[in-house]
Amino acid sequence: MSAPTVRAAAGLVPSRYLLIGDRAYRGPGGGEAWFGYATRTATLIPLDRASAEALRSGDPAALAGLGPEECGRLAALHALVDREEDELATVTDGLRTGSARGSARSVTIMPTAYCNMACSYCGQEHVKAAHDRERSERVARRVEAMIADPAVDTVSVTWFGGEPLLALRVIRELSARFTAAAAAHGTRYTARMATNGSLLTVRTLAALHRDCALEEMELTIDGPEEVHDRRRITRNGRGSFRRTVAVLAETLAGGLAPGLRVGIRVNIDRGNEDSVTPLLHDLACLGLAHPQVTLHLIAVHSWGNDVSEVELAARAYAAREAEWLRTAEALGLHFAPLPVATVRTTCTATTRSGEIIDPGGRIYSCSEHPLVPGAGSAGVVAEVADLVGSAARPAGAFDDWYEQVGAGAAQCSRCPILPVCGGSCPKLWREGHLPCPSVKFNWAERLDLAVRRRGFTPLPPGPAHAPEQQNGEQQDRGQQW
Amino acid sequence: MPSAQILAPDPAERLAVRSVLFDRLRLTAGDRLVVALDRGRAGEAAWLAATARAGGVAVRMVAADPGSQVRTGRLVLGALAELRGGRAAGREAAFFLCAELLDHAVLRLPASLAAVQLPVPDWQEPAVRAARLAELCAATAAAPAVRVGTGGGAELLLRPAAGRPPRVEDGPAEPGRVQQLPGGHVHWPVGAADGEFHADGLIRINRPTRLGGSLGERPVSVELADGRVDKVRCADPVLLGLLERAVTVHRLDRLAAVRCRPVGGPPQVTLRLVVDPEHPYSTASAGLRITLGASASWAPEPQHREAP
Repeated sequence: MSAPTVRAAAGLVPSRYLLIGDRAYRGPGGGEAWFGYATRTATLIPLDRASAEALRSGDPAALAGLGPEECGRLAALHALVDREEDELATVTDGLRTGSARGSARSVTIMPTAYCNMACSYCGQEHVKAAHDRERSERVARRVEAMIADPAVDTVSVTWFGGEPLLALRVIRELSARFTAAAAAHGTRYTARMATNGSLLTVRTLAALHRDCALEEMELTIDGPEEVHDRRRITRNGRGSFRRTVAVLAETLAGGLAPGLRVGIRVNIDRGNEDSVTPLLHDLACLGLAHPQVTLHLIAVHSWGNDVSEVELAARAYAAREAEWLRTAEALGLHFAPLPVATVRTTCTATTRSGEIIDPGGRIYSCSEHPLVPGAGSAGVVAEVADLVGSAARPAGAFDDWYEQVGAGAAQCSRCPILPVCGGSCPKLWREGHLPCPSVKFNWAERLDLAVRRRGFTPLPPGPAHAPEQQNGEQQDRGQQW
Repeated sequence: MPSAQILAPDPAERLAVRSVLFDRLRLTAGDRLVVALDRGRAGEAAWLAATARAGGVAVRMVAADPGSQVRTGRLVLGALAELRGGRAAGREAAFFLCAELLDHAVLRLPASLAAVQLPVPDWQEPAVRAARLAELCAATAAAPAVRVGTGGGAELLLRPAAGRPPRVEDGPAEPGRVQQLPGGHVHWPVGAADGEFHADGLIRINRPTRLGGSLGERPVSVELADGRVDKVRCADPVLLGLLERAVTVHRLDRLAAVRCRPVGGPPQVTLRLVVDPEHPYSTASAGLRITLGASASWAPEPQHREAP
């Protein structure tokens, strides 16, 4: 996406993808400032009073008064755009282009269909099955073919399950082949893993990082010990909280996995919403307010299963999340208040450069299909054995997502956070759920956190610090997204 | 050599300045020093800078931001980067002439940086200070108990640990923390503690949180019974939450030691809370330490009285 040519201010209007905070701040240098967030560039933008008022009101005279330099700055950040531009088309074109990029391939491999936990909110059905060497060989050959493809410069593998660490031997064997192939062909290879963490040891974690190119790991901790161990119950009845956090803390404190990024995911519903704050305090006490650790607070949603009894309403969740984020910030836990990059593609389901391979060698486009009763067979787009070399997977049910959004047929077509969200989850939209990320509802609180991080302090609310005109359109938009 | 006018006017103060720079911070020629100062401390900053430059140390002075430790930290790091240029060799240090008690983590300084702070102009000749500390140590060692009085009438009665007499500690500045000056304190291993301590000085938490720093606007009250934390109070809900979880879940309920640091006014007293070594919650939090400081009265009790 390129910046529009700066013409007379009369030709520029505030972007539909611009959010403007309503608070004034005192900067480190003593001056007053307001802030906007341009989702087309995922940029936090400091504004003076005149710019904040002009962008809020969209008043041509006020915009004309900003001067060419300020207009140029705001246009370069896509806060101001050409009046004639069809921004939705620009954004969906960008998403289509990103999704069509074949040089970056991502493969989610499920090395096992079994999980040693039986979480109440999980939509997967876990079954034990013997490891099939032949299938595993076919998976290895497919990923190796991607790595060897001269048109591909990056291959990333996500180890998923079930619980992938139940198949650690398979992961190590395949990783050895993938890293060797990547070295041979000069292709960048990276790996990440989604795990429940219960089987981790310091040695395993360090080895996965060192030997298997694991750069990112997301593990789930749903609350303090008593809550986590009740919700994420292991099949042998033993709790996993203490062991998991101890391994993590020891690995990080000892510098044993120096480049590894760890995401702590907290799945939140009515059953644990009151336990999030104590968990945040515990994480700080355990030394997990660590630069390598990022906190991911996630509202529980339907995974094909019925979670309506425990699911939190989106706005109610977002309001509570804003409180948790403020606490996390005070504790020094790491998280991104606002998205720092626009999305290239929404998920594996919206790019044929992404695919999920289940333990049976079936290929899916959507990660919410494999192992899910009723959805599993419907979501299969191919068998590994059927695809030749590194050929992209066939189109799945959601590869037309941007056509739907671009045609204005989805709520996302009207949403100002589309460039940093991409529509979140096409499957949930089609099933009639609201998959919007919390930032859609609590962006103002998140913006406040991001601004404070820059050393700005909020000024008391009052007419002296409030921009004179409120943008009615934006207020309304907030209600209608 | 710097002219006499810009060095400290008093010989004892000059000795103190040199002692801080070259003994405590161990600066030598080629090293880099940033002095961050509050309004009204320019004279002291000038003495420091002149003495350091005379020793071959490169110096920059920056005005501290009294409203933002984060901003002050950024200014210090920026000044160090300027001094460094492309040259990585040599040690780096920061000297804060700031009234607000500072915390290394809140300043967001790298752990490798040595930093000292003189909150009030209290330059003391090292030998005099050493004598004062030794006197306090001796008086404390001889007492069967010490009564510590803090804000709001809170009193804490401390009894010594058997066989572990108090000692004077006056080590050099350590990287990773801002050491408060004048340096040195009496370290008092605690056997039993009963009563209440009202901390309004500095809190330090040996974890990478942003909660460390001044307690001036969020004082913490700790009630102790027989050397164990019984109750914690604080108006800041986040800090209170952390302290309560630390005490009740992670078993950080032992008062391990008390430090008394004589300064110009009332001594600075610091409690060091540690995890019960026999019943740690997790290996990950077993090393958790929290120290709470306050300006306090420190009265060795000639005769043991009952706990308040």
